[in-house]
Amino acid sequence: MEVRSINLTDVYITDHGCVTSLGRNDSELWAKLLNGQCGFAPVTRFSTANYVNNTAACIKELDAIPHGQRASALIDMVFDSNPDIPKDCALITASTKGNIEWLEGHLRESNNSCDNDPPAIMPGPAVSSKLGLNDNGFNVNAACASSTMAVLMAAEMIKSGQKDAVLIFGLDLVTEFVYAGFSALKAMSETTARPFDANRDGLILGEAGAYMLLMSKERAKREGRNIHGQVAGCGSSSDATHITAPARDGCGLKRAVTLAVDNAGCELNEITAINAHGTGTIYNDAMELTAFNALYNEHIPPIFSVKGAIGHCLGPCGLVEMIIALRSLKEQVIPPIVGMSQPDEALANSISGQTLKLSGNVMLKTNSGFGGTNVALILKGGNR
Amino acid sequence: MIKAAIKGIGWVTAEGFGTAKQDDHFQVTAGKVPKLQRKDFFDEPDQRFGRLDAYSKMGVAAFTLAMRDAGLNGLNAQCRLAAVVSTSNGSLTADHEYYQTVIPQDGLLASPNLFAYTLPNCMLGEVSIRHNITGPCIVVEPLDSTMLTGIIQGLNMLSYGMCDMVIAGYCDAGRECVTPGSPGKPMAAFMVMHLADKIGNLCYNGDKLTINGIEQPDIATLVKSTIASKYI
Repeated sequence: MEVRSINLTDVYITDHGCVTSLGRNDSELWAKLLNGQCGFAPVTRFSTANYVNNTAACIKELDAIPHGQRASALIDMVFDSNPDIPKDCALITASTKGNIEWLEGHLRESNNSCDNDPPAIMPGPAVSSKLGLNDNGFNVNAACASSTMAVLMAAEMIKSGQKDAVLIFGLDLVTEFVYAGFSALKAMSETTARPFDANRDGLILGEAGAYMLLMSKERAKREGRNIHGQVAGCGSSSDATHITAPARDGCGLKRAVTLAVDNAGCELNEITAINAHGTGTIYNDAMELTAFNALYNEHIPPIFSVKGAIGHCLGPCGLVEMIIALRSLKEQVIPPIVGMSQPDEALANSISGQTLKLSGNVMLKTNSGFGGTNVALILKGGNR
Repeated sequence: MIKAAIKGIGWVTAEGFGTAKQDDHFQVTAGKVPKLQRKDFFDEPDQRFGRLDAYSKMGVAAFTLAMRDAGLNGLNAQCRLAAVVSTSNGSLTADHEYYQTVIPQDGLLASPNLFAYTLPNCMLGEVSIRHNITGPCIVVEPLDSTMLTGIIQGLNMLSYGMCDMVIAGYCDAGRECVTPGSPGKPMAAFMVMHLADKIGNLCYNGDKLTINGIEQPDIATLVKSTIASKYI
């Protein structure tokens, strides 16, 4: 029998923000998603001549920033609006490769010598310095589930009473380092990302910077914070089957979802919609559809992915998607799955290329990643 | 206050590899890690082990020794086990090796196999496959010199009820090109821990980590203190 800690306090989401290829703030992103817009464009930062395509969802403003300085520029953009982040909050960052451009430049220029110590590649110190925080925190590396895992850890810190405010920050860039890798793995589409489409053939990379501030219910109320939503339940698992391929039977994802639902004290049939990982790769999407089919005997709620619009942003993808999920609950609508024209018949009734109306206040958010990691969160909406 | 008992320890350093119950000598020094061979850690053939990057090989080896020291080999999927590791340089060596395959012909020869191991959590993926760890597997990358963040997060995960037992520790290949705060010495050390309110001698109060009431400033001291305490 699974036994989880007693929830001593509710975990509230009191602030968030993101910068993606579809805009410098949440509202711009949301409006473009509802319009079915796509942030994909030819990559200009490095040569793509030898890769399977030349497309990514880059943040246009970063193209003009010198190589090696884009990560710090993105941190500035994310916090451009001067959000009210308490100085005493704990910090958890979520990035797969952080400022990997530094290493790219170093290796190209120095012929692999290690004469100089590299600057901190992960974003914690820069974020802490930018916001004047007391904590440099630590970076969570759980591949494409990094920020979802970071939110899980932050939520547990708050539930247990260890902390009453935790800032989660995620960042990853479109770089040659990562682009070449996904191209070599044959995980990248030759054309475009089509999450949950019957003819999907791979992902398109994206980039993003995002933050989310979690607080205990007591502190949020004491400080009169806006309540954007609640992290009501969390679950995590490992497939223990393969490093780069998901378990075909979705065993790990099923386990993570079951743990999250139990942790939230709710039932699967209370879930209003599912914001899935939905990369657009053949095997990831098939694994997710298999898992959701197995979890639900019937009446599967609407499932959606935004990676056909903003690409796969790797470490921060979960944070961006949580922000969209909360907005979906607030507006009672989910955006169309951009890129999908022929729904995979495995779950054709639950996926749509159209905007769908919702009726309910509970979102299941899932992400999975290399190494076989899976994270599921139950999010509840906030003030409407 | 979180109180835990330690069931086993395994490590790999430049001085060699060992476990607590074998009374092996634990020491962290600069230098190169001795060649790690499959037969020292696994009975069955394991071709992938030989192909792992230095960080992953050290991590898989030390994790396996810790499991062996705790008598946990041959687990089934029903066990609620989790794994967490902190690292300073993580996959930096693999990053170098992989990007050297990208540079020569503008990515035409980029190695997909090396790319996979530029994610430091893939080391725990390797561990999970070999030991059927189906609970959370997390890599944390702190900027401090204590190298204790993995142990502390492991204790937290126990206290949150995320697992019944956690294998937690530190892994770093100790490349000379180091991130700030890194000791630059190769070390992988894992501890198998479970909550034990009455008999636990490893305590964390949210600030300090102690063994038998004595504060542990870093992971090397913690491992030495634990071995010396004979409480395993």
